[in-house]
Amino acid sequence: MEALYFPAVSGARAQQVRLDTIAHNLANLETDGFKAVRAEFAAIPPQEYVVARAGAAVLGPVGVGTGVELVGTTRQFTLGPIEVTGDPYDLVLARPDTFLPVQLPDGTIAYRRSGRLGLDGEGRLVFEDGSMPLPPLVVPAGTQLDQIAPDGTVLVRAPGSGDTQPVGRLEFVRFPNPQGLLAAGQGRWLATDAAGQPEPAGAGEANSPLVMNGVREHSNVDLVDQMTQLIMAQRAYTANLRALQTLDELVEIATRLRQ
Amino acid sequence: MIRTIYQAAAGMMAQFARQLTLSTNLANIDTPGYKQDESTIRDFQQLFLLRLGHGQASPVGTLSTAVRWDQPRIDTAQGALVETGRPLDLAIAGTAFFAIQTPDGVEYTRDGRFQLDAQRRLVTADGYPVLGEQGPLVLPPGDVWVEPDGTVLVGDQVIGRLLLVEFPPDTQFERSPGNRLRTEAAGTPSQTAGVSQGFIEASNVDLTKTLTDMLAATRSYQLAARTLQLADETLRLAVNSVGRVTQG
Repeated sequence: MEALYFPAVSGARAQQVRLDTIAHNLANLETDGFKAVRAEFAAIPPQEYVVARAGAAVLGPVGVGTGVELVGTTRQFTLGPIEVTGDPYDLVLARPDTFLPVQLPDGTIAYRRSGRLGLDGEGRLVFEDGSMPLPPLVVPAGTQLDQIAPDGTVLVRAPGSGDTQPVGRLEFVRFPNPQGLLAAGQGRWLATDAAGQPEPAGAGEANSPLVMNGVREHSNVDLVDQMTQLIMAQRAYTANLRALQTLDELVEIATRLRQ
Repeated sequence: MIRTIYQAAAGMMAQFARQLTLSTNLANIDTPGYKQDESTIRDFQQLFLLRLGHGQASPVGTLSTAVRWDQPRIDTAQGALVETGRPLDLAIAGTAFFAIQTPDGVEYTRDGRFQLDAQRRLVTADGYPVLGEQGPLVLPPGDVWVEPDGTVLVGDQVIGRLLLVEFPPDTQFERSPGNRLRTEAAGTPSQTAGVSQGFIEASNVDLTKTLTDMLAATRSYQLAARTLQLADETLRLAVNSVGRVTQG
């Protein structure tokens, strides 16, 4: 009996999940480095099912569709809008598929795409959430960060001096399947088996920049797109509830046949 | 033999099944690459009736149930292409399908939401490899380009060409999980289909038409139900009133 209602219910439920992801995206409209989420749906294949027992010879077993299911959510790893700040401590990775390995204060290895750097008590570069790029890079005492070159080389200079000198180079990795990464909040991503082994990226690929320095990356959520999706999700939700209501009316007619 | 009752009941059953099909289509209004089910209702199917009794069946003649609901047909009409900007979202304009290697053999789909797995193979959302003309495609690191003819490039290097398969128009498909279709028919590599990178093909369900069909199905169902009640009423009169001599 509930199989009759399931397609419409699954449709309404799917739209509800879609609304959840839209709400999540809209809430992060102003979150630097946020990557938009998309809910992915797939049709459930039909199950052989007898429409009417009394009419087995009339109708026979037929496959009636069983609705829709959520198969997962994916992230859109495209670059968000870039704001130029001119501050050498602001950093964005220029390629959407590269990540910067960092160590969290508790020792966990995570990966970042962008962020604002600062210095810790020992002069090491750390992101503002406390995660430290691996390997650690120290800005020697008496110097200040001048810029991070497009290939990731960190350049420092003494105040008042025009000469810069490199103190090291940021290292980058790439994942075969970035969709497998686990979003850990605060712009951090955690590696999983599904994402595959991180591969070093950037070495010998100097023909296009790896790092944009002095810029911030805004959320890549597109407000107009999300609002359009919101309207469509709402309409689709209503239509599915309407279908549910209609099927229910049919069942009611059937139950009132004998008055 | 109370034929009207059976005919009305068959009509109700057919309209109910049609309603279920429509409701399944509506549930998938947002499923990329979904191809809607089209109800087919056949009319005037003759059934052969048997009388059962004394442990044997003897033929008594034929009955038409007026309507008969048939297995829905999959409507493979083109869905709208929607831009997503993701490099591994692919959509086909034309009649071809992507070929997917699954444990149950090759299956076909129009749902081009692909990604790379941990071995850098191009796979579907549920992890089955997408077939190129020379088998699964393994993409080295770099920017992926897909040409309209299905040729996959990484940087300037050609990796292979997507296997795009076409079927004759009357091919019977069966649904499989993950928005895939299965068929016994043999396909041919397509020469005309175009692949768009950064797009997905939206479901081909038309909201307005589906809701209109739903209204029509509801009214047909109500009519059939009314017919059944009328037949029942007629019988009631026949049973209780005909031949009655005295009132009360």
